[in-house]
Amino acid sequence: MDFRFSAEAQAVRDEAEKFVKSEWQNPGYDLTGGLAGWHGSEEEREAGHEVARQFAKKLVNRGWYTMHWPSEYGGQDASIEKQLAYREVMSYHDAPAALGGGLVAPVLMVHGQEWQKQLFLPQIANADIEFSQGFSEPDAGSDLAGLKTRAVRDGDDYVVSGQKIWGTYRNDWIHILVRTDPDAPKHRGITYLLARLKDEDGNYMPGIQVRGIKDGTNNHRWDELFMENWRVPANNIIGEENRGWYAAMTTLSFERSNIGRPAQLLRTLEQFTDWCGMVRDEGGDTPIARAEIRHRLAEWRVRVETLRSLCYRVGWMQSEGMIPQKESSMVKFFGDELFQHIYRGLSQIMDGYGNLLPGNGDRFPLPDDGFLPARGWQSIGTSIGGGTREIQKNIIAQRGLGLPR
Amino acid sequence: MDLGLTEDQEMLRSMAREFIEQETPRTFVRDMEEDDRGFTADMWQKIAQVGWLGLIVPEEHGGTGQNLVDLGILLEEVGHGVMPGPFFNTALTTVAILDAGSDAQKAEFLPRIAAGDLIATTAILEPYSRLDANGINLEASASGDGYTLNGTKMFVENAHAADYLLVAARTGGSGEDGITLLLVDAQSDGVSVDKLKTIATDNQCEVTFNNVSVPGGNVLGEAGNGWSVLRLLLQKGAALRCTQMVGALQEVLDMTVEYVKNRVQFGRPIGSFQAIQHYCANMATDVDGSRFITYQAIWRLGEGLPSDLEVSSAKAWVSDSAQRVAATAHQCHGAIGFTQEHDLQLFTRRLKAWEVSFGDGDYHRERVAQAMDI
Repeated sequence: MDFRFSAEAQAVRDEAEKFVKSEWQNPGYDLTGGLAGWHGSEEEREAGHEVARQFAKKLVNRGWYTMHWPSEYGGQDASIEKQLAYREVMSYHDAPAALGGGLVAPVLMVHGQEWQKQLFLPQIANADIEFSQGFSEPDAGSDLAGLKTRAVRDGDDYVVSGQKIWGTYRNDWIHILVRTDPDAPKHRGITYLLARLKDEDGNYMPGIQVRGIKDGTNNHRWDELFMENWRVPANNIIGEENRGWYAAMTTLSFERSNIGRPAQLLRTLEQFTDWCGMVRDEGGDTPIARAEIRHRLAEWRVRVETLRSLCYRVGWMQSEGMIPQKESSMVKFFGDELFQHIYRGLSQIMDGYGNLLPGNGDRFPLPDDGFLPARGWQSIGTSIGGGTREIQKNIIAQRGLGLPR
Repeated sequence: MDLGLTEDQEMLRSMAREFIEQETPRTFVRDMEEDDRGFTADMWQKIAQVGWLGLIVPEEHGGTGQNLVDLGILLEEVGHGVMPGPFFNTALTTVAILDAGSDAQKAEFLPRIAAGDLIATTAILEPYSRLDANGINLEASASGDGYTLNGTKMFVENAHAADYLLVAARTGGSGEDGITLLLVDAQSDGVSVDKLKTIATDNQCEVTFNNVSVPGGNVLGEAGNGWSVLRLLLQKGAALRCTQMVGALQEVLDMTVEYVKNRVQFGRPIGSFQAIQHYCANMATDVDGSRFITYQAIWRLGEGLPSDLEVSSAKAWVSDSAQRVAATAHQCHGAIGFTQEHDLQLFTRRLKAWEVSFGDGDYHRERVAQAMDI
């Protein structure tokens, strides 16, 4: 038993710490939460994306953007522990440094055709391309395999019709799951495609329509994608026809401990504590002088510590070659609930100040770079996106504890 | 980073489980709840023979010189099997002697402990039941080359069976200053032990000291400066108690999962209902969280690293989790789990006792707040 990082991972941690302090300044957009700006003008949104892209470029130059990739694709084969150490530091500083390539890179490495690997992987590694993700549909959320977007083979193309939702369909390319055999059992009639959403001039392809969706704070957060007889070259397939579900489930040995959650929450608690030190009532007391607040903060700190130990457990299992399953679901739902408790709770403790958004000038110093109330709102979505809390608990109970379906 | 056990530790664990299943099965646990002493001399000798009492005792004093993490792993099994007897108390006293004892004291006490010839327990709390330095007020006045003790200690576990009591007393001063730790022969004139009836039948005792003479050579550490030793001992006690609770919690979870797989209502196992599945998922998350936050705490203590925040985080989380897990286990078991004949109550009652042992969630949250500098 040893809770210390290896010397190698510790070195990455130290370097990343130095790097992020000098190279990252929060521009006033909550990029880690996927929230670029508040009352979401498109300009703010674009500006936020640009900041994230510029930072990704710095990570590319530093060699960190794809440290987790196999060396045959230009990565560094970084150990799980190194990835974990790196991500913990980045998240603590609220830097948008999700390791590059997202879901699509490992799928391409394992199932992609040679031309796809050669065309896309270098662009991904350079942070020159981003893919939209076309998985969820209006009637296929938790039951993703029930998706209905239909693709019919016609000559050298698939003709695709249907609807996707809860993505942002503003990129040139999309990786998308479509149904190619409606008569097969649901997991076995799905095909995985890479496709152009926009032509080289930036116009949507024929048959594509996109409509924005705002969240309850009027923030343009997602889009809907409508596809009608959209022609996608059949050669764009990833893997085999009707085997797309299994290709989409591919994961490489990339770190997935969710360590960013406790790191970010720890930072928030520290910033809140600092803020309390600045704010005093007429008697000179800070909010922390109130026992009930002090103990709520301590309880959150205890939970952050517990969550972090569970995240480390996931990372440790991966580095031992074990495959975390119920363990990943635990950190997901535990982390989501803690995110909700902390951001809602802090915003409540701050009374009316907890509802202030940035943009009120410098008169009111706010903790957590002013993101607190926005994250309180956003927290509602954490236990829904990426697999609902209920799905996570089903996984723990059925696959982890062996309870019957 | 390595969150697993070594091969030796795995072996220690599996041998401990086997020993407990064989020597102190649930029928024995139940018998011992009815027994005045709460364990048997035979059992104690067997524990000595398999080397548990000498586990952390250095080889030169008759033990095998293993570390605090090893002791934690063993205690996890002791909790898993709700093994009766004063093993926890004797082990914690051993920890104190190792931390602060003189060479002479180590030579005097450790071989006897390792051989199973000396049972010991810690006497810390007083009627006000406070774990801070101001809670230590049992009077130890200097007399001759020793001390005379007067006062009362509360919730002294297994004092009725102990040969020695490690007593935290006040030799003067106030607060952290003036606390002295003394190894007191339980047979001394003026020591009286009154066993209390408790929900866990865990042999909590009230011990009164009436002009009890203790030789100066029995001071553990430095007279008047006992707080630093005691402070660390309280941390180790809390972390070790957590390991014991983790073992018990795992068994409560396993017991519940087994039950809901087999209990049929409405023509199907109740474990197929989502409400029950989500209860079980919550329990599993509480139990796993308890395990790894505890491992972190005990590992840090074993390494001699600053551990205030980690130990108090562990005890706060485990104390509260334990009550949630036990309550949910009962809900899943329905009426049968509420009965005397079902084993679940053996765990629930002990987890209730251990919730407050070495500080409950509130106490440790306050300590976490202090460690956060707020």
